[in-house]
Amino acid sequence: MIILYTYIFIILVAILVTVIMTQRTQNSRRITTDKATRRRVFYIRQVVNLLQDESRIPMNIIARTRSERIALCEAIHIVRSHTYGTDSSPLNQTIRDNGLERLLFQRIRYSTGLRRAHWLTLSSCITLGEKSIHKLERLSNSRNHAIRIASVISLIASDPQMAIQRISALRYRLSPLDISRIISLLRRGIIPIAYEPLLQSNNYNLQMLGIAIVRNFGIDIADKRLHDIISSCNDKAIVREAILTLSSLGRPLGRAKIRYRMSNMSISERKSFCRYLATEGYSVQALRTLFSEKEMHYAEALIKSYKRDLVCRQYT
Amino acid sequence: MHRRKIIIYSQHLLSAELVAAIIGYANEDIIQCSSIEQTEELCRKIDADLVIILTSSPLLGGRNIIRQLRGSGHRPEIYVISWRHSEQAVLSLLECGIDQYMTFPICMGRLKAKATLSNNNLTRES
Repeated sequence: MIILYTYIFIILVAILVTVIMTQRTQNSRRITTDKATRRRVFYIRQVVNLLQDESRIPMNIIARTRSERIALCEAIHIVRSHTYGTDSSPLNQTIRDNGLERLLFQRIRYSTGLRRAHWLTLSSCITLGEKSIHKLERLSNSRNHAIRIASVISLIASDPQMAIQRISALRYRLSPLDISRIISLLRRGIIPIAYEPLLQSNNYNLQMLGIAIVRNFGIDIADKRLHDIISSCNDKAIVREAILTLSSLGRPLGRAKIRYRMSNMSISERKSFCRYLATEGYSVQALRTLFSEKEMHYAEALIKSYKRDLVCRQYT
Repeated sequence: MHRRKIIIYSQHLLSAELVAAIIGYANEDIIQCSSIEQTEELCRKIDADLVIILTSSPLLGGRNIIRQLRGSGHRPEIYVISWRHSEQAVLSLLECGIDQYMTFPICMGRLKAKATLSNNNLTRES
């Protein structure tokens, strides 16, 4: 009996100790997270003040410890990725004084996978030296997709003049998500919006980037180029993207070339295209020229379900 | 001097902090909210002068937030800043009754100028 009670007592003590330890770990983790957030908030305010400073008096941000420097890096990344249109020279001075480039490249060197991609993403918001650019060039051919795209973004941000050459030299195809990351650099004014040479290029990545620019910035005058791509391009993915871009611009889709390209699409592709057109606000009448009678039942149901028939644009 | 009351709604603390830092804490009382219910309640309670919403999804979700924010007769200015660039979404939001729509990445000077302009209008009215 005594042995039984001893066992129960030991089990209870073990449970109690585990609960206390778990709570302590959770508390310390929460405190660490709160501290890190407070540090980031502090540096965001400092960075914004530095960028908005109109007094022209030299002001500098100092981060003493490693964790403070990391928080400063993250703050710079948040500010730079959310804003544009400020003179970044005072910020470059802060980056140099705090040795942020060295810190980031140390972290990149000793980390792997997504963590490495995270540090690479942070490096896209600081000005890099030649040595770091060579390291990034090596990483842009990594087998890990997240690492290579993060290094490509970082390379483009650090040397915008070479952006087109770097994208055209890639030996792999960029995904739509990768292209949207490049577009976000464009929106910050880092690289120019010269879509015409991109659309005329024979390189897959450049063409896709050109189409994405047209689509994101709603460039109506590019529709002739898009029609050229639809009629002459052999790559199905580019043709599909060009048709989707035309529809997102709200252009008529009744041309023979588009109908021919659509007839070569698989059933699932046609269905997904139909869904896309319904959300873009095309009318039943406009879709009748593109889809068969059987497919039109699906299209009609979609358009009605989206309540687009009241406001849709008529293309006849 | 009248200190303006500004409410910033965002689920991301750091984005809200960034916008607050751009507008500046000098002449404003800036309060950050992490839920839309909290924003509506606070707006009614303190008679906010400006509400900045850092997402468009609650407004496009069918909930009449604008009416809730301006329900008590007080008419705060409502700015929406989001990553959504589609023309359709922007038009829908403006039709909803918001005063300004801006997209990220945002020009610091422009946001500050807009906030200052709204402050000047408020001072002139009072």
